[in-house]
Amino acid sequence: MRLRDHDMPLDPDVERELEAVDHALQGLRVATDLEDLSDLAVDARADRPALEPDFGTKLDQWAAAGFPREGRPGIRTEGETGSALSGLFERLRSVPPRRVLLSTGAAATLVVAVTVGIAVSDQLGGPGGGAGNIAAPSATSGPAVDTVRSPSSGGASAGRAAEARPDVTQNQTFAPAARQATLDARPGLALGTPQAGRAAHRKVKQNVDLVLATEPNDVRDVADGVFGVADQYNGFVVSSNVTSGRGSTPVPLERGDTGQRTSGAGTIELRIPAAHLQDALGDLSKLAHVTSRTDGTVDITNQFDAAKTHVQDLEAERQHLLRQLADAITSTEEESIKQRLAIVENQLADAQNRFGQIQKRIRLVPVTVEIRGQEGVDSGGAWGIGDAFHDAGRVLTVIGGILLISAAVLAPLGLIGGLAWITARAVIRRRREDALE
Amino acid sequence: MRSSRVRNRGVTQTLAAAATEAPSGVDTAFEELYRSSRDDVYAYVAGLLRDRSAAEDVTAQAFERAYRRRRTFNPGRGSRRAWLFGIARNAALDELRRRRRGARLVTDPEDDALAPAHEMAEVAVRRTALRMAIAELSPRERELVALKFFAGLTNGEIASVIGTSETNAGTKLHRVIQKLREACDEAA
Repeated sequence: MRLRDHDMPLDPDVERELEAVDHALQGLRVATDLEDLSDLAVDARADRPALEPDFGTKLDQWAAAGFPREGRPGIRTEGETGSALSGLFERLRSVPPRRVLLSTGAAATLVVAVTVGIAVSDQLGGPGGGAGNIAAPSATSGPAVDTVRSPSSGGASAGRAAEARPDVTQNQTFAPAARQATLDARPGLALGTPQAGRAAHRKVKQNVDLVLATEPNDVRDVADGVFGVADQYNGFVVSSNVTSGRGSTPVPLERGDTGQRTSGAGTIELRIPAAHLQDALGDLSKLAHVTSRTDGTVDITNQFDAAKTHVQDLEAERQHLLRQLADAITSTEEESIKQRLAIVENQLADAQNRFGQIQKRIRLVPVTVEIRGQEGVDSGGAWGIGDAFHDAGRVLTVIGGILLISAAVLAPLGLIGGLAWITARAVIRRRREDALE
Repeated sequence: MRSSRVRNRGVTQTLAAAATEAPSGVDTAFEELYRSSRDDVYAYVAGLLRDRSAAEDVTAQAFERAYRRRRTFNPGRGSRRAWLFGIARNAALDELRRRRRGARLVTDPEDDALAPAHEMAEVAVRRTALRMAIAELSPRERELVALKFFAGLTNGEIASVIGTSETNAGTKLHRVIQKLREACDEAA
């Protein structure tokens, strides 16, 4: 950074003398009163150091070769030329600053953009992002709240409370974005976690209510998709009631859905094996826009254990009665035991039936899928031009966000770099000037 | 047709001659700068450093740097010659910083044989006085002498090289000349 003084006119006498010096150096005559200046200039010029002919020849040859790095003439070749680092520095300095700035800026922008892009894609693909398959909560999705009904909900978390106490009921309503993370954190459902290990002996019955919204014309397609998912995961359809098309009976609007007409609807009752519940729900969520989802969980370990114990007790009693019957001596005694045995066997059948129902209830999860036909809802159906516009907008938004974040990162870095560069140049200039002191 | 062939042969001969004269790998503008400034750059650097070997090394270094950075030259910021001397100055100051030691002033021996006897004595006295006066100058002042008298730069080019205005450069230069003038007058 060079600070230039304002150009002020020189004193006429000074200017005249300087001109005389210039004239003398050019071999021109000067005024008589300035002849001493002329002599001074000529003498100084004549006394100037001259190149050694040998060095001049070497320098010319080196110049003719295009100033190669090797073979630079001069007596001393150590020092600046000896260091690889100084050589690299010299090479860098020989690159035009504009090009260095452009290259560095482009590289920095690329690095930051890639980093931000990776971070953004991680967020989009992470547990909370739903991998882009689930639309963001809309006005119809309801509040993103967790409602936990638990006898001991104060203090410990709902999960720990449910684990610690039997017959605890959990009923959670998830907004789509928060759903997966909450499900993962729920004890007994996330396989492979410590909670899963501890809760393995727990018997839980679950139920899920899923509300999907789609274009009225797509209600049938979504319903078919629901059937397909049930079939894919070895589940089955308990009941279904689907009405498709724009002329169908409008479904009552929910609070906050003002202005959105709905037409076409369906309700499908499914039973999905608990082992495949999460996968099935994931596939169901891909079929259409998830308006809401409610997961219910009830710990029925006590019921299960009681029913099992009851069956075991009745079986033991039946065995005991059979042994008594075999040992009976009188017909009266035998008849009495038979009556008692009949009663126990009836009780055993009831108990086994009940136990079987509990087991079945645990193994098969009731999933209620409600399909709502709504105009203007982004359905998960066939990809069309509207989807293309939507996706394009989303891509542009993401790119804009990446550029914005990149700019936010690069601007201060560039400012710091620029200041450092200016400071370094000023320091170097100052040190060089100090060498003349 | 014949005249065309003759003309073509003439052009070919001219190009061939130019090719043998012009250094390969050096562009014309830089070659011209090199040829016109080689001796001046050396004289300036040697006058500043007062060490012949160091001056040779710095001169070569300056031309090498200038050649590598020849595309960074911006005509809007001064003449090509001033740009070259700016690079040479930086190299010389770096050398000064590196060494931080005094050096002798090296000048060419005087050509006594060419001057008449009565002039020889007068010129010798005058030049000795001038040489001593220059040696007494501060490095900054000596740099101005080197730029003006050894390298033959204009006041505008000197201003560009040392990073000041032309007026300021002229004023500084005039002060130095006055010093030399007084020293020479005293010696006379």
